[in-house]
Amino acid sequence: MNRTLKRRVNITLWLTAAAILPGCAEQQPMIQPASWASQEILPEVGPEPSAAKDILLRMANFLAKAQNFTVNIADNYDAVQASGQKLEFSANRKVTVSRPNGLKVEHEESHGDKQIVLYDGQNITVFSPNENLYAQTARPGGIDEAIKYFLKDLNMRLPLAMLLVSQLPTELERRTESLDYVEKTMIYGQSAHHLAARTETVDYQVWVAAGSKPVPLRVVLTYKNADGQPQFRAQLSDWRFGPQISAAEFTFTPPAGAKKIAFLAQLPNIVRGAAEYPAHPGEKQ
Amino acid sequence: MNVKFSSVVFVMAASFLILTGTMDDVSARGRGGGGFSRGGGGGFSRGGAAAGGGFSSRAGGGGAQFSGDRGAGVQSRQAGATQRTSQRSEAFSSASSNRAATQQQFQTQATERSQSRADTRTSGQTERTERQGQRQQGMTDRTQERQEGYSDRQQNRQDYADDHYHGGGYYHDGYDDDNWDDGEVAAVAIGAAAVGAMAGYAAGESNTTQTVTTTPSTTVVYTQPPSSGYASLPCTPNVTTLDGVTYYQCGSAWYTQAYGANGAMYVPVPAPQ
Repeated sequence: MNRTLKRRVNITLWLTAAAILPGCAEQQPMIQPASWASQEILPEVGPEPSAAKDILLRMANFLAKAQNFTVNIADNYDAVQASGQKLEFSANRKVTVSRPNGLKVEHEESHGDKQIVLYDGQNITVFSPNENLYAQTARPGGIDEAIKYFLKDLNMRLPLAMLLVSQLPTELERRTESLDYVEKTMIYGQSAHHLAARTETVDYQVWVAAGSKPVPLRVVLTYKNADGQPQFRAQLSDWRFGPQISAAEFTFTPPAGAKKIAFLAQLPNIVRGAAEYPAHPGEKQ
Repeated sequence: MNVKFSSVVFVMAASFLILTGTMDDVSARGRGGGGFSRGGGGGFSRGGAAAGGGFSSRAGGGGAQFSGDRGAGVQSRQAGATQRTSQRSEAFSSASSNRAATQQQFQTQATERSQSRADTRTSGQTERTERQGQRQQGMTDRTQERQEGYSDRQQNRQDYADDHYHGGGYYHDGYDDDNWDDGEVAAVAIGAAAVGAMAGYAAGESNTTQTVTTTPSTTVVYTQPPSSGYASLPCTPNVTTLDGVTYYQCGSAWYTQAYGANGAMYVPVPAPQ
């Protein structure tokens, strides 16, 4: 009897474990940590200031001077529907930067879509592993140039891209109309300076880590002129500043069977007559 | 007793397993075919001003810049840009403060900023003229280019299609040209395109939030860009590859795949020739 009971309990435990383990596996982060040396290499940005502007620019200079870093970003944003209903969607991404020519953004959205953006100093590539599709275009000139081209000309999406360009201090200074120090606070277990700023079109808040590693820990963007004033919110974690990363990490090698497609913005150059194709019936020609 | 206990445990574990499986199914349905999936068909947009995560935005607040006399709009934008840049640098250098430095400072700064705004409003014309002098040359060139562009656009609506393929180009030239991260993520028509290219576009319109507001003049203000593609095809298509481009045919409609801000999508194109 006892043996039977023991066997049944064992079976039960195994079945329970079998049910729970896949759930645990789903909780694993999508992206494995990069192989950094244990010793971080932090850019030198001087002593910690107390004024809001100095804190903001110290953070900006810290990121701008960093030659190699990775960060995980968990973000979510409001999508305002035609009805006015506001929905929240989220995404996780891991960003790897190796200045001046290496950029890799691995991105997974809440509904499972995955996308990898790569830049190796010559080509910008977007790859969707789930669909085995990619688009690629040449853009020599470095990360800053590539990011601007990606957003402005290709009309692609790269949230918080401004944090990745080396002109971050200038960009923040140019756009910010007012800036206030809200409070010193604890966020995600770290001491941080909570700053609130306004630009012409976006109000932004940033929580800058206190101490010798002044990274942004959280960013909230409010699109104050858009219908419904939607927000974009991001938690930035696992900042790692390390040594040179192999250039191969940023070069795209198409997997077997991968299909190359165009960027939508470049379609008129590739598909004859695409630009002339009427977008909406009844539209004046 | 022991047998009873073990049976209860076994039944509980089995129920848990069944429930887990059921929840997975529900979850899978939600991801694949539920209302919120881009590939699903529920009709919810994932796009909008906040989807891009930029530190600037083209959304809203700039309607006047796109309406009425385009030339006048450019001029006022010029003045505005100059004024804004100046205000920004003044405000940024004076407004940054430390909470520790007391609430009094906040109030003072707020008053200063209000005063500065009021001053700017009252004496804006004079200042604008003075400041514009510094940038006159570059601005004149750019204005000329823009005015030419606008005239072309008014004369030939073919540019509409160009704008469409550039993912909401209606907003081009809005605000500062230097704000390279101000793109709004266009809505992707959820689900499949309707059969027939024209019908397909109509379906796209119905699923997106494009609003056209007409004013007494020829003004057309698009509060949100139209959809720029479809998440899936409405049929099992005939597939043709020509000059390295893969085309998908559904009835009389042709599509190709392209990457936009929302990922890969099916875009209506003319029949390949």
